[in-house]
Amino acid sequence: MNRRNLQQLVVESYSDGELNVQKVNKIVDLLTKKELKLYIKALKNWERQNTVIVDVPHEHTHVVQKLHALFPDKKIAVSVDPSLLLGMRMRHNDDIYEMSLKNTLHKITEHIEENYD
Amino acid sequence: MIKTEDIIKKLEERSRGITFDTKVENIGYVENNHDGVISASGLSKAVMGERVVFENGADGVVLDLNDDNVSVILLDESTSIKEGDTVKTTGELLGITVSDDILGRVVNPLGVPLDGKAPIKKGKLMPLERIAAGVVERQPVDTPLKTGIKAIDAMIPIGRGQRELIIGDRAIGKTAVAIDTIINQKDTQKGSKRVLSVYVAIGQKQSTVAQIIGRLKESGAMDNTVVVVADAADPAALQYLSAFAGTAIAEYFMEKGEDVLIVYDDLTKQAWAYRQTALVLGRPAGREAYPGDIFYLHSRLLERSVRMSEANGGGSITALPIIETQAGDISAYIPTNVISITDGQIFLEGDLFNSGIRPAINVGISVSRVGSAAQTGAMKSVAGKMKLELAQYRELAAFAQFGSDLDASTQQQLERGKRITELFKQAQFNPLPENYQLLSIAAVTRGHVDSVSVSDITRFEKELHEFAQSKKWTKVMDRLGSGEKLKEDDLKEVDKLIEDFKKGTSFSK
Repeated sequence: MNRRNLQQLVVESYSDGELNVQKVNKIVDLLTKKELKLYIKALKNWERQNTVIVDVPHEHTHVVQKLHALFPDKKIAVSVDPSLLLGMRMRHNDDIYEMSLKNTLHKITEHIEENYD
Repeated sequence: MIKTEDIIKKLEERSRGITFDTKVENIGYVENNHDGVISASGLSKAVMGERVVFENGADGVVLDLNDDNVSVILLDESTSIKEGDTVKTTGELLGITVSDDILGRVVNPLGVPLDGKAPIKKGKLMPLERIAAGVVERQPVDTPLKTGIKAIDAMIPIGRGQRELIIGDRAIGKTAVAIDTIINQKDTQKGSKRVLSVYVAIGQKQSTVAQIIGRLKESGAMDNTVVVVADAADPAALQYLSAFAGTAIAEYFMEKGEDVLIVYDDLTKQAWAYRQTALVLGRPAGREAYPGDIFYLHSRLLERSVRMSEANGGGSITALPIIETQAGDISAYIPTNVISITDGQIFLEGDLFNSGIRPAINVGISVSRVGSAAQTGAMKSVAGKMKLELAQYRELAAFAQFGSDLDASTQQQLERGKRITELFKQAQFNPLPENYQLLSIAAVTRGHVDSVSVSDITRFEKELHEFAQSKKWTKVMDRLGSGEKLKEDDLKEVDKLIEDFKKGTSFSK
């Protein structure tokens, strides 16, 4: 099974943007153990690529709506992390965007530690 | 009392330089860990040689970029890293922060102090891997770097900016030559720039390293020295990177216009560590299982030894790499590679060592390709004759083994040669200033020791040096130490000194 076949299998496993259990079951039955490993890895990868994970300090519905407009084809997963204090942290594919007060404070500490004894 | 406005003003001043832009981090996930080589998915923006940080704070460096994963070598202990851990890029190439504080310290290749003293003040980030200075930025080697070892300073002189290989079997004094050279740099001679030293211990026993550090402290040379240690228990990646870390530290001082001496002890073990890393990374193995770029590993490292032009600060890095051979075989893979890269080699021989000639330097096959341009005029004027006499002696010594009847001049040449060889013996950790070296050499080449028996030469030399310390001879000794070419009159003064010495002793017969 080459990479293109694998990618095709992954695409076929979805219907309407959701993982289709019946389709997956059918595919799994046809795969060898080694191929199955690759398939699971590819599925995980696909999920990661198509999900935007957002950490916010407290629940906010309008943030999710705005993000839907920004990433129309992607799933938005919101989790609450009070330690961020203010702002948000967004994870898209393998990039993390830090826009929180926690990060700003951390930067100030780092700056002081590096420049003053 | 401090006013509120002052406090705010101070705070504003201090906060200058902080950027509050959105931080974008590129992350990846650990997939597997083979002996400190980690394969991670994600990290799509990682670049070769970039430093990455694991979830547990461990450092790593990117060494391979593949289709769907990145290979990272771990620079810390690998036990606590497991599958699924996140790993972040840092956006900076692997480097070491260096400040003037690092002098006199013992650090690991990442700049972490190992001597239990205060943390080292952060300074400039020096990348471990860097392209060496180009032709335009350099100038030829023309200043001597005195080792304090008679045989080297007279026969195989080293210049600042040169790369001189020290090669030989195990336990015959390779490190001793390097350490003597470092010790000799502790006192700056009049009219010459100071030389700072960097000693890089690669894959050595910790006990050996502790001994060397102890010796440097004892002799007072540690204040001008930085010791970089990646011992035998450190990860292989750290061992191979230590040579580059040492060079990065040397470059920091070189950029400030300083002259730096760097000792790599030794590059054989560095090559082993690199071989191990490359094999675990799955790179194709070549001769003796070394990867294809093993030559480039050493050539790019040693190419960074340089003598900069005055316009570029005039600093220099002199390298003394050490290579260990097996049973004197210099035609093995790594020795031939490094011999061809360096500007000459000091060859140490087991047979000489065992027959009591220490340092066991074989002056016949040791060479210095650029150092003679850096030799002082004074040394040139006495060493030239000695080189010729020694070469004739070697030729005759091989020949004389077959016959017993030799004519007087041949006999005389043989006797002279024996005395020169004897004179080259020198105790460890006992480097000699140039004027005393010149005095000894002049004593032999001008025939003053022909009447002294070979076994007495060491005593003769010692007593001569003590005699020359008297105030009466200060002028002559200063003249010898000035470095300028010696005229016949100067040499006559030296003759007078030696004859005067001999008069009062048993050597007068």
